[in-house]
Amino acid sequence: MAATKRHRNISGVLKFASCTLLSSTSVVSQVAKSDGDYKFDGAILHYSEKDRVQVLEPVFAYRKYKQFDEFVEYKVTIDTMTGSSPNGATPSNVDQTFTGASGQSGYSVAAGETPMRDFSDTRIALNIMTEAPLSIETRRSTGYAFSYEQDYGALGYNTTYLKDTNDKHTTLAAGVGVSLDLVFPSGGTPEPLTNINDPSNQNSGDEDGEEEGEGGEGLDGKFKGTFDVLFGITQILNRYALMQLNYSHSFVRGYLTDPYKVVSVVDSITGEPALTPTTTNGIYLTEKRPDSRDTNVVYWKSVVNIFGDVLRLSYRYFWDDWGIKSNTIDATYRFDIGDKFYIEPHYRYYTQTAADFYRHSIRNNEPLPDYVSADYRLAEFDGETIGIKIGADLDTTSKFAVRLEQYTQTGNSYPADAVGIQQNYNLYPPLEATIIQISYSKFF
Amino acid sequence: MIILDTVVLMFFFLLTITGCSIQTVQPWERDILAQDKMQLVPDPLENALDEHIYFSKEAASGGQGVGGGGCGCN
Repeated sequence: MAATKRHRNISGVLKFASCTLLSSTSVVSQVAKSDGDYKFDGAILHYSEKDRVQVLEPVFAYRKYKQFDEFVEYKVTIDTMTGSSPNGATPSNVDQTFTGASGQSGYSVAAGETPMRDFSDTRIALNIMTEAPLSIETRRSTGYAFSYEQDYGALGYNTTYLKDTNDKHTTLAAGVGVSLDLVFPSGGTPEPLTNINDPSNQNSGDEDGEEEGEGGEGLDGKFKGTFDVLFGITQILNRYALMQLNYSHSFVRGYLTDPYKVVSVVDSITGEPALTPTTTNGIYLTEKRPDSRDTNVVYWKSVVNIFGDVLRLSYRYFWDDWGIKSNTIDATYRFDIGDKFYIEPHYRYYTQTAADFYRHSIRNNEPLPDYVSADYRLAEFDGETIGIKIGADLDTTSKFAVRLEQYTQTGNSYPADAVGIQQNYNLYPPLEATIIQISYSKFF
Repeated sequence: MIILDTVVLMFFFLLTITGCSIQTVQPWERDILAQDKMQLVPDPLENALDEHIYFSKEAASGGQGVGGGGCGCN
């Protein structure tokens, strides 16, 4: 029985070696894949931010092969998130209260602390992916995606055509993807650029002013649509190296505002919160982003075998019409230790410029901007990931790996345009996250 | 900044089209390229998890394929 399986594997490897197909999206395996074979992949990720978000995310994938280059894969992801994230308001020298627009429950933050909003949610996602040959030189991969969480739902479809040319030294890829998303903000969709502490705005979320329950209730979700196109080329350089270059463009339309983020309005001289009339609470405006965004990405990757070890290096340049430009460099180097084990250090460097409408706060003596967001993710910042993975190829059909990584973000903590007491506080508190992942893969 | 970006892009473009001297690799010479560890994405689950993390924490995303996203990430 074992000999039969081994024979099948060896024959598959030989068949595979003579029919190697490079793909920009699919993964080919050194283990044979033949009719009736299937593969199980499982991973558990624990993502933990210091004093902020905690995420536990198990993923399971089952892939069934019809033949060595044709399969269907089902993947389930469960994403459990708890903790708090910055709500956009700046720290101050006084306690800050956020009573919440449109029926959201209020909360207070002590003086000197970065205002955070607690949240808890579970996301369930199902992905189905198929890949099948269309001819000797062409094949197609297709994906269907569904995801749901308390305040967000998404349906997606994508398809990519791949064509081998140049004696299968070159693979051309062209793909499109569509995602239809609905946002159901907890407490209803807030009217943009309104003061959440203004009593006249309470329980008046959305344009029609109807009351909202928790996320997901009613049919007033806000729509967001994404259309992606991608063109790519993968080239074998020699027996030890290959390279990929992709260009992709995304058209995003609809509700792109974060319903939970606010922007502090501060006194133009003291920097203290400007007060909501007839109250002792500050003025915090709900943010507003444009309802369209076009993004572009040039992505380059190279994989090089160096005396059995593997260097994987990628660079990504991103730019969009919100004024964001970003550079990302990612490098891993896999050191093989004997036949079974390996150690793989990982380094990633990310940097982005701010969106045109990003403001850490606005002053009470300036006109209201058309668009504004204090979301730290739209600010100028650098991100750095340092990690290591230890893995074992237990036998020809099963693999195990553990990785530990540290992700940090650092931004402009003391911007030049901070006024008054703002200059005493860190307006971009660094984010520190630890990533632990355990993964197992078994080919049957 | 724009000039620097253009130079970087040109560098990678030239590197790609010249291919660091592209050599013919016969089918029977593709044993190394066929190894799992030599794939562009050797671990799709890990790749998807990373994409999700960075999608929810950074303004830039994508590049490796079409689709993805689909969360109201905080």
